[in-house]
Amino acid sequence: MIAVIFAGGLGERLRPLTRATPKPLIPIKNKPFLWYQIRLLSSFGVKKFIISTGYLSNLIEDYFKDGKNLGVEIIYSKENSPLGTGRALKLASPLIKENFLLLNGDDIPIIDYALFFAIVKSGQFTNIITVHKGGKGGNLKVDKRTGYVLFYSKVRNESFNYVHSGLSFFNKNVLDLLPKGKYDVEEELFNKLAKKKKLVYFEALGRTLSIGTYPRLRRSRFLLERFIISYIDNKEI
Amino acid sequence: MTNKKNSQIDFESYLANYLLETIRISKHVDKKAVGKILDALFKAWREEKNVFLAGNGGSATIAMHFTTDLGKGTYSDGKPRLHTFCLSENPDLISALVNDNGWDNLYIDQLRGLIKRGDVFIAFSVHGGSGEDKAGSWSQNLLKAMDYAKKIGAATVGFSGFDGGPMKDLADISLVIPAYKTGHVQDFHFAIMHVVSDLLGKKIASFKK
Repeated sequence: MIAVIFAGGLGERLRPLTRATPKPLIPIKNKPFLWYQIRLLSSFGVKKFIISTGYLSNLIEDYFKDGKNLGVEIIYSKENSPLGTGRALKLASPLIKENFLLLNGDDIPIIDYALFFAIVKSGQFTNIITVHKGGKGGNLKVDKRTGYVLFYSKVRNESFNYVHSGLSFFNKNVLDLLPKGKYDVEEELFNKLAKKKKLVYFEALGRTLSIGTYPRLRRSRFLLERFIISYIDNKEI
Repeated sequence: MTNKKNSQIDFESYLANYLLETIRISKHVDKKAVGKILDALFKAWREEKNVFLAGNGGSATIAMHFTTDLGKGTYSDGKPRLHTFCLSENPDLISALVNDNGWDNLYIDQLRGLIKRGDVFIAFSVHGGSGEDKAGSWSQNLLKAMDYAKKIGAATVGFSGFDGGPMKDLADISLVIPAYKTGHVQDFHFAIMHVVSDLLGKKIASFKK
């Protein structure tokens, strides 16, 4: 199984921390955030990672190299200027030959991974996004009866309950739906699939561990170690 | 066997991972907290104090089971029996109290006029009082009762998981299972409850004044 991880952002909300360190390399207990993401997914059989890089890509490549140390294969898809997650995925698309997981570089969703991967491995579903309840409204309108996502709104809407948790699993065919230009994957792809009733949701157990802002980073530093021990062997952390 | 082709969930994958996660979590259980729970209960037995237990939903079952194992399972012939009382097991009392004073007061109402200094109050709550659903925040009744028990001078014990919620800081002894899945948290509450009951039984049997 393969995973694409968006790791190219400038991390502007984390300045000055990100002046010399790309967001995925921000450490939590001496290991970069991206290390936890790779170890978590690889414990469920994800052995190939396509890391979409941009800002300070060389530092990420120097740290993870070809992934052999983590028992996985890592390929880098490097964008020269930041053009949104849509463009980043399109750029990486020639490297994606099978159905794939897609993960935001600053998110570790709190989901039941065993159940999520048991569904993915059943082969019965593709185009699954993980979601959790937003504090005040959300971006996603879902149909609880059928499990379909009906609509994604970039701006939070008070009548919508859910937000994207950061991890999804897509059929490789969706890559053909990506237009050229600058856009967010969520807004473009989620809506295209939702309109066709081809996007289902998987509800998380809690709010995503994120490092996108200082308050989120503080929370993740506090909680990540406790969360990750279900997925990483004792001696590694 | 499941028919993998038509199933929406890969049964074997789920089972294998659930069990593997259980093994990993087991290596991080807070042994010090378990020891403190055992000591608190042994002290309550020696001083013939009362032990009150409570939990909501699946945690009610754990509270009931622990009550039985402490009261029946640790008894040793010729010695006093540990005084154990479950606050989550009596449907007519529970429905009467909730009917009159609401869900939040269910446990504090049972403790009023009953719990004394030196007694023990044990609460089981997967989220430790954080999180909410349609009826509002979860397990506030446990927090309210625990706060009351503390003020009376009872020892308080909180079994939780996830981030431990407010109960983590409220309880005198807090055991937070480092897991983020209700199933795993409750599995470990059961396991630790059994370990404590077994050890307490041995301690009581071999105790000589």
